[in-house]
Amino acid sequence: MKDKQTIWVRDLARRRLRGLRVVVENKKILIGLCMTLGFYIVAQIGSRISPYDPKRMGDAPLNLPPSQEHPLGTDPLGRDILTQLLHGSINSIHIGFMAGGVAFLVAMLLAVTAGYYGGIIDSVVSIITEVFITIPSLAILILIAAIFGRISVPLMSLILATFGWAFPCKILRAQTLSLKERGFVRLAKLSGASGIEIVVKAIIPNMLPFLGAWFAFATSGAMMAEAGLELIGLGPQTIVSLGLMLNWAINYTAFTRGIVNWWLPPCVVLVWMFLGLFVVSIGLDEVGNPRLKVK
Amino acid sequence: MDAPLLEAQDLKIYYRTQGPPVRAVDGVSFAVEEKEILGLAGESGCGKSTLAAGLLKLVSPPSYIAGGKVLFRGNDLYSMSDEELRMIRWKHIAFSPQSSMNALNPVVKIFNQIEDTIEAHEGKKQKKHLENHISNLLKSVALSTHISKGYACELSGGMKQRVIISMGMALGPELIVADEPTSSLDVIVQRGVLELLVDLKDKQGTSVLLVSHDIAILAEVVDRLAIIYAGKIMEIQDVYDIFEEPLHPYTQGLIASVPTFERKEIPRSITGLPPDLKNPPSGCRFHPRCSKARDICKETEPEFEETELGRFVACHLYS
Amino acid sequence: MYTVKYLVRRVLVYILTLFMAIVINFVVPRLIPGNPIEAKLIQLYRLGVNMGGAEFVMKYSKLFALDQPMHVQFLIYLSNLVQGNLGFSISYFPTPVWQIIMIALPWTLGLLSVAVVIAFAGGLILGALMGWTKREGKQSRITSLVFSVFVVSSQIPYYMLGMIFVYLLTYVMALFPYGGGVQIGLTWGTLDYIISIIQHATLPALSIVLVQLGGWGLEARSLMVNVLGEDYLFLAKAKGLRERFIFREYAMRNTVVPIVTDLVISLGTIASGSIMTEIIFSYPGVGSLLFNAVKQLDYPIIQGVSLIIIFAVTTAALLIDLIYPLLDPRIGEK
Repeated sequence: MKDKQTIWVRDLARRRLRGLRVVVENKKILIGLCMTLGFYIVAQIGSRISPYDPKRMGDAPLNLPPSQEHPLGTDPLGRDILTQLLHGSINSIHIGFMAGGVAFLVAMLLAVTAGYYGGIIDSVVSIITEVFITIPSLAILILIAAIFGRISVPLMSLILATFGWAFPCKILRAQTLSLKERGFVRLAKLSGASGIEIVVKAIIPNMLPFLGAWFAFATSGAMMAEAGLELIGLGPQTIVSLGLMLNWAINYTAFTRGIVNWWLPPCVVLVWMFLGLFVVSIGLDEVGNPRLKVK
Repeated sequence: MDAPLLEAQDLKIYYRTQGPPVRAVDGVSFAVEEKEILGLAGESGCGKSTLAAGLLKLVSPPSYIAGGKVLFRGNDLYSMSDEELRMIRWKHIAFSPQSSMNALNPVVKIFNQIEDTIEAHEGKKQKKHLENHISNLLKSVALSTHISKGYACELSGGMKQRVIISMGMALGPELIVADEPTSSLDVIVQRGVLELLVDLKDKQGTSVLLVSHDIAILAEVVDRLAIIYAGKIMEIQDVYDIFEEPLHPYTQGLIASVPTFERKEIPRSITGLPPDLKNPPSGCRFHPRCSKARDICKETEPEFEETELGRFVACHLYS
Repeated sequence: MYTVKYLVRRVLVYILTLFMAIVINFVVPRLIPGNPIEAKLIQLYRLGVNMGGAEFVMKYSKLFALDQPMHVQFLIYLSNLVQGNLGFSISYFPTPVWQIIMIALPWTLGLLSVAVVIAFAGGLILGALMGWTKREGKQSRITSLVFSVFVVSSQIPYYMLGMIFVYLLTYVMALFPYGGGVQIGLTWGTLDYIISIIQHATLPALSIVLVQLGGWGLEARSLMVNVLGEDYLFLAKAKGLRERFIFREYAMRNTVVPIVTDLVISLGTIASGSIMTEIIFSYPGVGSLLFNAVKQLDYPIIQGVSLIIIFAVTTAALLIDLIYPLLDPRIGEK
């Protein structure tokens, strides 16, 4: 028994090392990570350096255009826009990762369990997943948020996660199904490994590129949903976030007044983050399925 | 002697990699005559499928043609225009690919898949005419006509293989290149397919280039047998001759590894592993595994020569 | 082609989804303790809106049968729904909700159907062609450029592009009008009217189309690249078929099939995105309706619109799912 176990464990270790090397060599992943993490670090540093308070009104003259003191100017309530941007970015990123992370974990657990064990578990999970995928999440989000009035940040993250898990779950389940048939899984089974052992040691490590890609997807989806909710005015509104900045912009008719320095930076940051996460997920997809490379 | 139907001259097909290219087919020359079945035998990974597809210039990246010619009735297929080559494909030289599982378009009816190749070469036909023709084709491979109204997902592996072969016969080609047509089939269906190929040769005069790793199967149906190893042809002989008197040590090893009813001893396999085609061994490519290797085998590559009438071999034992 | 199992499963999911939506719609407002009508009134009163006090509460309570036990309320709710009764709007009392929605709905449907059709068809063809050029190995510079553009453009939320358009084309260069679906004062059906509709709808539609084009393009390209590696494509070439024929019958057909599944999945996202876009442009569709209802705390409208959106999306998904086996003979056979 012990000999069989060592064989397949060593086989797995070999695969894992190979996998890691490929991931690091992929340019897209590196670029994407630099974009997202890089910006996050910049935002953290910047928000601590800034002497201004992003929420206190009347600190500075209203509607100032960009200047040396206020690189992005001030908003109609006298707040420094750059500070808003930095704090807002951090909060948006936090919420995105939190909600996205929860959604991803739920998706992974359900997908792998349903895919590996099959049977009734699979049928039930599949149907629930389909229902959640089909429902336009925004409609329900709006409904819930509107009815509950002021929702707290954790509650919003929970709601965001509720709609972010379904799609990754569906795809990851399909991945699990195909991995189940591969040689090394059969090898593990023959070696007498238990179901959980196989799942944890064999299946999940071999899905790592896809897991990473869908984690990035879930995070960017959560950030997008959060921005959307805040934009409509249904978010917590207690902390500054990028979506909230846009909501303010709409309410103060910034577009038709031409206050570009207020609404454009949050847009740019959001797109930058989405793009970064997207590139990471494309890169990870390529690692998992090398045919897709754009050479 | 008549000119051969198909002749490969010093054919080279390589695969691009980040380092040196993989020399899957490295200077292969042979000929297929009219009305004969030529077998091409070799281990997995020795380049036979690449060769088979390459004969019709069906190479897609990362593989590419690195040199040589393929003459069909004297015309070089490689220097033809795309359109000329397209007309030759299937109508004169048909192809049966290695894996039939996915070789049929999953979303198009079988009927349409046979129809489209007929029309691509012979123009639009009358419906009645087509239906008869396709019906006959399917019958000749022991498939009922109603299959044509269905889709590939409704067929078993054996049925798909037979559909593909019947498609190959649709335009009455002079040569069929069959790449491992029996590898995914059970023995009974295998027999049926092999008998079909022999039938084609006898009744319609179609030549067949039969590629396989299974010498036993080849022995039953081919007229001549070519042995390929590490991207090079080692030996070509008439099938009876080759089994009675295999010249090349590799051939001898292959034949010795096939279990038969007559021999009582345990078959011996050839020691060692097939070589890395990015960096093939120097001199004769088989020398690391050859029990009869001498010094010259490590240094110089043996010429592929005709030692007697119809017997070709590439080995220093005979030069 | 269709198996009973496939049909049953599709319809089951459909019904479950609708049911879940209805239940959520019913339950959520009732989770707040106390009489929701009173609560709403108090909220509105704080905002300076006086709806009339006790009489209003009584009328509404009776309408919603708030004095009845929960399950009875639910049954009444269901029967109301079936009759198309979505209640009355608070801000536009006594206008029934469905009437208000029916005014806004055609604008949304018109905008979305045009935008999605253009984006989907365009993206599919462009993406398939981009993928098709990979068959010889190298990709041309133009294709790589388009690919990069698509990567970036597909990540921009519709409403953001909308914001940029509003700023550039409406504020900076007054090329397009802002707000509303059509200029007020024009007679219905005249050429001016139609032109005005197009003018007002162009920017919102463009925001949606440009972003979605990238998304579908990337997806189609990825699917086509997978198809390129398939054995049947190899055999098609070996059969001596013409290139254009292979592209159409072998490559495209097998690319379209999986992308339609993606369409079904994306319907929800597309609906969400278009809601935002309407808000940015003050386009009079159900998105703006929802937004304004949220601002005015007009719960009947919020519930009604949510329900309609879910109903529309799930029905569209079901329809496409029913057409799907016609495209792909492998489905429905499971």
